[in-house]
Amino acid sequence: MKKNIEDLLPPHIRALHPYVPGKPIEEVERELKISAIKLASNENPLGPSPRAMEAMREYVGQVHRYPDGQGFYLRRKLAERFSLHPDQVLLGAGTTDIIEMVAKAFLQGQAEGVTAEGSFVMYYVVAQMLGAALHCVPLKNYTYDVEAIAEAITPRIRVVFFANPNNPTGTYVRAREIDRLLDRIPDGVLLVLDEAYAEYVDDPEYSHSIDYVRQGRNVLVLRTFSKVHGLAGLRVGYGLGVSNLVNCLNLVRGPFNTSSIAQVAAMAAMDDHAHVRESVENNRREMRWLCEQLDRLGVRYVPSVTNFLLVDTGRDANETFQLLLRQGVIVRPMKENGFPTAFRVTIGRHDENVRFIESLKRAGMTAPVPA
Amino acid sequence: MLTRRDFGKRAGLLLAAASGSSESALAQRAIAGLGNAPPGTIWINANELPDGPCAAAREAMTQVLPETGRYHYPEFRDIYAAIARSEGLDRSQVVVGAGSTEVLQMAVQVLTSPVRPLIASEPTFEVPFAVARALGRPTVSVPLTSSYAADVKRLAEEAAKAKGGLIYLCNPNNPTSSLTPKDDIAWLVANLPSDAVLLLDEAYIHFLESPEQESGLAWVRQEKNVMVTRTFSKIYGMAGLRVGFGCAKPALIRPLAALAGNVISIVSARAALASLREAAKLVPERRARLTATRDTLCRWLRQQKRPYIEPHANFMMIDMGRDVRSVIPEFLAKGVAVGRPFPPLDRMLRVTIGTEREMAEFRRVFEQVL
Repeated sequence: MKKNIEDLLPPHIRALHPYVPGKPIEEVERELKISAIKLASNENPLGPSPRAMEAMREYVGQVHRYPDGQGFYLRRKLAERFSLHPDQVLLGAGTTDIIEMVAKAFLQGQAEGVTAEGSFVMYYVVAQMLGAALHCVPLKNYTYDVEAIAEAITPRIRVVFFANPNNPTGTYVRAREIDRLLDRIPDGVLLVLDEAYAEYVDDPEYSHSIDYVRQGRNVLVLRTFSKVHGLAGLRVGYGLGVSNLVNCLNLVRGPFNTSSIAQVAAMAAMDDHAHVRESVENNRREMRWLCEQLDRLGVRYVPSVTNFLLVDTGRDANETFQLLLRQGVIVRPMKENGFPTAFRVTIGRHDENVRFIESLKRAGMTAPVPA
Repeated sequence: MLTRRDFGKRAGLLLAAASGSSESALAQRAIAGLGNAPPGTIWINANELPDGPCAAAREAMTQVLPETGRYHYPEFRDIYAAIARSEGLDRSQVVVGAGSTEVLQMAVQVLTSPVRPLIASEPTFEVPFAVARALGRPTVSVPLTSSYAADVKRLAEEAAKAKGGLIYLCNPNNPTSSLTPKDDIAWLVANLPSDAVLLLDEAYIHFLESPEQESGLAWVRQEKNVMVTRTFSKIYGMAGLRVGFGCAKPALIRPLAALAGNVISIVSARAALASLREAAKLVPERRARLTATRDTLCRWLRQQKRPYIEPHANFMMIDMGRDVRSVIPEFLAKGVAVGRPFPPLDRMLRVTIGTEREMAEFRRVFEQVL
């Protein structure tokens, strides 16, 4: 009997569903005939780094050249910034690309991974894509449970994905706890420390992850240009790790995974200290204001060190999402992520945050929810 | 348990397995060594089009800059649809990648297996071979015919022998710039073993006089086991932006679409869309310019009695009469970066067709090197 081409696919590939994105802002505006604001994707409300935009404008005529596949200049600049060697820097089309590389390189065959429930969805998506086993331990008080993660490391575990701060809860653990975790992780296990929101954290004891790299430990630190630098649409992130590890990951990296214009923009953004400062200041000021407002309304949320808040109204997350959407405020419901009554809202500009709070009031979300 | 030593060993194994995708980049860098190139060097080494993106694409890129702070995932539905429309296909028949390279990678990953080999001509574009080797998949290479076309009979035989597999055919072929006749490919499609898929790389198809006639897209529309890849890196002049796509029936596209992790940058997407809108005018204009420059070079080579492979793309292979490993550095020392060696064609130099001025300089240096 003639076989269909689908029959040749492994079951875990056949089970995959292509990513179905949410409603674009323009579509919401068209349907509701009102202007909409998007506070759903943890983007920088101040927009891209002006210096990055300027650099891209100047580079437009040169995009007929292939990118430097090795990203030599951007890697060198990042290495200088962190006092590392360029061989300890890996570029990705966003950190998601690097998460994929880690899984492709280390989660094949019998190898397994561990992470937390209620964390960054791409860990789960990538593991499923590759048919890799990924164990998920519950969060404790919305926070990664270091003890439970350490306990979950069986001899089959090769990779630990640890989002610090965690998305979507906005919580973090301090460096000394990561120290303790590392001491308990066996030698041949890779700790992926996903620090996509590091620049927003205001705590001197938050992280000394780069030291692990300098000490030659099996740690890969993930950072991104999508958040504080405001370059989400360009797809560029990076990993920092020992050169041996970076070499491994380079083998499964697409030869030209970051575009030339993204590399140019990223380098300019690194020098845009004013933009980074303003972005962090806006976030700090507005986070304080939002929390005050939510406190006043008696709406529960998880205190956050990032540029977003997990808000728990005690009501069905999808319904709340719809109520806010109808008023032109797009947030991200977290029902599918294990928080049935919560949504995630990105800290916007002040005018956006005012509108969000007003919409929340009009949606009747103001009554204190019994504990 | 994996110890730190095993960790290192594993790295070594992976390194050994993937002697390819990064190899080309490394080789290129080693030969064209960034430091060795004199100032003002002419880069006719990577089959880029010197025209760059068209004016409309530049305009679209500049306009989208203030929006680069946003993720644009939702917009990609429209982008996929626009690309599908431009090729007369349905959205479900298209997958977009970071260059056609990413699509080729995904195709090899999904459509080969430990028992289903990758079968391709030698020499050809090396990424599919490199990916297959890195994944530990079997590979079969078949020499080009005496006219530098793909040997379709042997490709089909090998697929039949393996009871399936993925046949990769780049047309026009990189690095030879030669063409496999449409009738030969039609024969291959008609004689494809049932468990085999034909992957037609049409990165350079727009440089042919009648690309639509030569293209394999008709077989995609007929739902054959054929996948066609296209790119914006060549005639559209935007290799730096990383946009390409694959076309096939939905059953072949679906598993690739699920794997397509690298969403392209919004700057790239908008530039690609603007280019597509201009394609009807842009493609023939650029082809005419390119062909004229290439014809001048061919004429000159004939006057020099210098053999070359009849070109069909924006690059060509010239017989240097000696190993190009010694020729390439001589060119570079005189400010002309040319293609790397492509064994087993050791005497053949691959040269990208640049601007008129660049090719005049190439001819001047050529005389000195010989």
